[in-house]
Amino acid sequence: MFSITVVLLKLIFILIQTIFIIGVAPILSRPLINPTRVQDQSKFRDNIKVAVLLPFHKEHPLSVMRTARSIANQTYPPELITVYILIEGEDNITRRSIPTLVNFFRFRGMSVRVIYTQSTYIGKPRAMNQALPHVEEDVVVVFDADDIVPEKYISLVVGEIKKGAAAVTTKVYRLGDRLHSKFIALDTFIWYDIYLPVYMKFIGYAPMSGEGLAVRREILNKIGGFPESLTEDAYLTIELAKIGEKISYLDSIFIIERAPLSFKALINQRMRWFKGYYECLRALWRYRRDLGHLKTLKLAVTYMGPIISMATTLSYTIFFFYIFGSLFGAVYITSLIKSAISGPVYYLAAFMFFGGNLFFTGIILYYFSDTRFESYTPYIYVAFIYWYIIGIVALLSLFSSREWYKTERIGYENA
Amino acid sequence: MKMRKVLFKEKFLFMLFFALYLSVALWLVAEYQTTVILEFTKFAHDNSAHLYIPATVIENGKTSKFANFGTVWLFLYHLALVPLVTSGYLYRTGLAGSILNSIFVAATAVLVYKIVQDKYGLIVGILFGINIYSVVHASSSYMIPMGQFLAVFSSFYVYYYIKRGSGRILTKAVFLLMFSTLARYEAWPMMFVLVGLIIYNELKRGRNWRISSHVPLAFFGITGWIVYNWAIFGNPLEFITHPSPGASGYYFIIISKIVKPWTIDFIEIVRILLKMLGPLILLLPFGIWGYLKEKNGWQFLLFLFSSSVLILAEGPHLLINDHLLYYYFSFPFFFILAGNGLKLLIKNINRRNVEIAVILFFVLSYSMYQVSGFFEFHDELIRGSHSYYHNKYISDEIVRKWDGGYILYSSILGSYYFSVIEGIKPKYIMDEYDSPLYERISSSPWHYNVSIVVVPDRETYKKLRGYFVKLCHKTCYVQLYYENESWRAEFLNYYKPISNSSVKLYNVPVIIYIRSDSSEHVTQFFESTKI
Repeated sequence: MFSITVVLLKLIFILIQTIFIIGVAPILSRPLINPTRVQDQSKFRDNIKVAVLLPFHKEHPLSVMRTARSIANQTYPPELITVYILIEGEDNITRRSIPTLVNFFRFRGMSVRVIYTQSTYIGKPRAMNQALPHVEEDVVVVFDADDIVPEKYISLVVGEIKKGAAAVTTKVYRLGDRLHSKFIALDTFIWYDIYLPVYMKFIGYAPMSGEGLAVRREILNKIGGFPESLTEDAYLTIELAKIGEKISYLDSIFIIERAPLSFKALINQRMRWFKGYYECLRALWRYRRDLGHLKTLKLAVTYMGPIISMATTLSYTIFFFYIFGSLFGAVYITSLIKSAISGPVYYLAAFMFFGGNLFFTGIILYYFSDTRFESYTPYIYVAFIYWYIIGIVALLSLFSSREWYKTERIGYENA
Repeated sequence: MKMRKVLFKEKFLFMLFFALYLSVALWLVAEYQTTVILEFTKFAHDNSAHLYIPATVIENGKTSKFANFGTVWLFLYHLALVPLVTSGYLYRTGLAGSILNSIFVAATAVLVYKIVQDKYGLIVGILFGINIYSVVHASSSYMIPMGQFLAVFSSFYVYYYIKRGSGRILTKAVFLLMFSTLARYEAWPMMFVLVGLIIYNELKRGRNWRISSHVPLAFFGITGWIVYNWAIFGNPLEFITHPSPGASGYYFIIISKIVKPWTIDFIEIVRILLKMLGPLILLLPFGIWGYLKEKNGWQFLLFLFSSSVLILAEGPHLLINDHLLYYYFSFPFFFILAGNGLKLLIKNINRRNVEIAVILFFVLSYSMYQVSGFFEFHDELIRGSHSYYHNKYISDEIVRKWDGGYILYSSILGSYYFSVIEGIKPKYIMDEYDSPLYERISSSPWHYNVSIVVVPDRETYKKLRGYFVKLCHKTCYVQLYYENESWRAEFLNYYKPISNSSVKLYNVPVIIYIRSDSSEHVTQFFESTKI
């Protein structure tokens, strides 16, 4: 019995370390990648028409206006932009902001259309798909409420589309003042500044983000609209990879989004994302023949976020068990762990624990020093507590029901 | 500050020194079969131990283990050597260390040039590169060059951090120095000084977060080492309390000197500096003045001086046969200071002819000084080679009698010399690196495949007994041989000495036993080789 447990534990531990290697490899290869140059936006000014989709769901007026101001400030010619405000029939909260919004965009010289979607909220992708038949522009750009978008964003997106990209994504930093938002910020820095550039360089694809997501209209026609998944943005990457279309990643600029209001809101958001990622992994398995085995494997690596989180939690749990076992004299537990984690597995674990954390910390400090986000870097030393919880969330997501949660970003007391 | 693109001049300087150092190493191998010959000269400095330790980590049979990195020396250099010592040729010849060190010392020379900059940097970079101690360290398996390179590379960034306050530059400085703290203890005071500078500067600039982000990273190496000592040896300060605490032990002397500054022998310090820099010592006051004149230059000066606190422990403790090997870590920092002094001196001379005369004076006088050093080195090699050939002869004879079983040879007696010089992998040598198997075999070697046993003579055992007690807790074969009559009687049933009296093997008088039922005919071949 003991030996079977030891073998099982050893196998689990080897699996965890293998996942860590896959997880740490992009961090180690990040210094090999040079930042892309910001293109001269003026040369992309031509007659490409852009549809800006704003799918709203019970949004606070402050959140709505925050996004609206960013769109209105775009350097791209306003006459080429049409704003589509998607609102549910029964959403009386957002409805109050509509007249102001419409006037605001019209005053800036942009066309505006308000599209009422089905009264029952059934998710962002379906709302966008309901709007698509009304959209005639060449490029569709999606923004959420609470997004702060750089002025040249649409110009740059159009430039990338002109260069042949089927879709364009960018960095989305989620910032806030509360403690949990510091960790979210770190998470997003790590994802967008370390992982995504590496994935784009070596794999060519990576899960895209919904905020500022831009897609060629004809491509959406080809794939039957936005995928109706919990993470339609990440799923879209798979659809594009399936038909061999390229995606582009703008790493020279970033969109700022308000972080989830509370820790509970954060957990709900992560739950939805992880479930969405599991859907993507299942889709990859389903489409493995269309994609080819190598491409499937490469893509799978980019969707491993929740798996890496689970592996982190599991390895810390084993470590905690060992510590508590040693402190409280639970010899059975400590000897079990000792027998399972010995020899090369032990060395690998020790290297990953010290070397992995060291390089991870060093690279985070390096990339965010001298930036406006530098003050977030000290949180890296306690982030393991946050990642431990996120790993548990990743595990629970496997068993929770498929449901869409809206991420609360702003309290109504702020109105 | 990004390290700007490496220029042709820098690449050329690196290649030139790398080729020079490797040539010296190859010449040593051609002449004496190994660079470990240096162990038999005044330049002795644990050459073979630094090759043996990494080999015990992966080439020690069933007792290959991480713990074999030990606790006396910091482990980074040994870790870097691990892949190289797997080659039998590179291990035996010592070239494993030479290749690595040639790279580090050549790169350090280039860094000296880059820190001082201009022609003055090039001059002192070259002068550092041709220093006899640089040549000796680079062409052998001494431990200092790696930690030194990392510390000098860090100081390149520290200089620009002090000037510009950039976080990215600071990250590079901290990261490099943190690795240096895992390679040499000399880097530890440098890290404490750097941390002090970070706290001072960032509090002044109101960027408190940088203290909490960079200071923990700075101590990652030191903390990691303490945790390693705790996890492996059950004592976080094992590297200090170990029977042979190595370089860490010298810090007690340094601390006592700092506490009682009147005990510092300044004349001795000047003598050491004179031996290190020759005529360049004249430039040091100018170098100090030069940095003091710069904005926040005192901070860089403090950082440079922190590299050389070992110099406070001046005197017989660290001067090995009147040689400066232990001070080698601080060499490049003094050359940087001298280079800055040369720059200041020349800039204050407006006459071209005088400028040239001053440069020529320092270059020629220093070169002459070094030429005498090279002659001394050559004489030392010739002198040392007698002892080397003698030991090599005895070792060869042992190997000739060896039937492939274990060789029971305590590391306290110098098993590592034997392993490296004869190119015998550590898995065949049973010593303290094989615990707990070593203790088990020690209790009854005749029950195991032990073909050769090396025992110190009685007088030597009396001198070394303390080490054996602390390291083996009365369980190793040497103690059993001298302190357990019945064990000894049993042992002598199976093993016969192959010399009439003790012979000196690697400076230790020993008696060598061979298994009496060995197929080899036992001959008394040592009779004619008494020293």
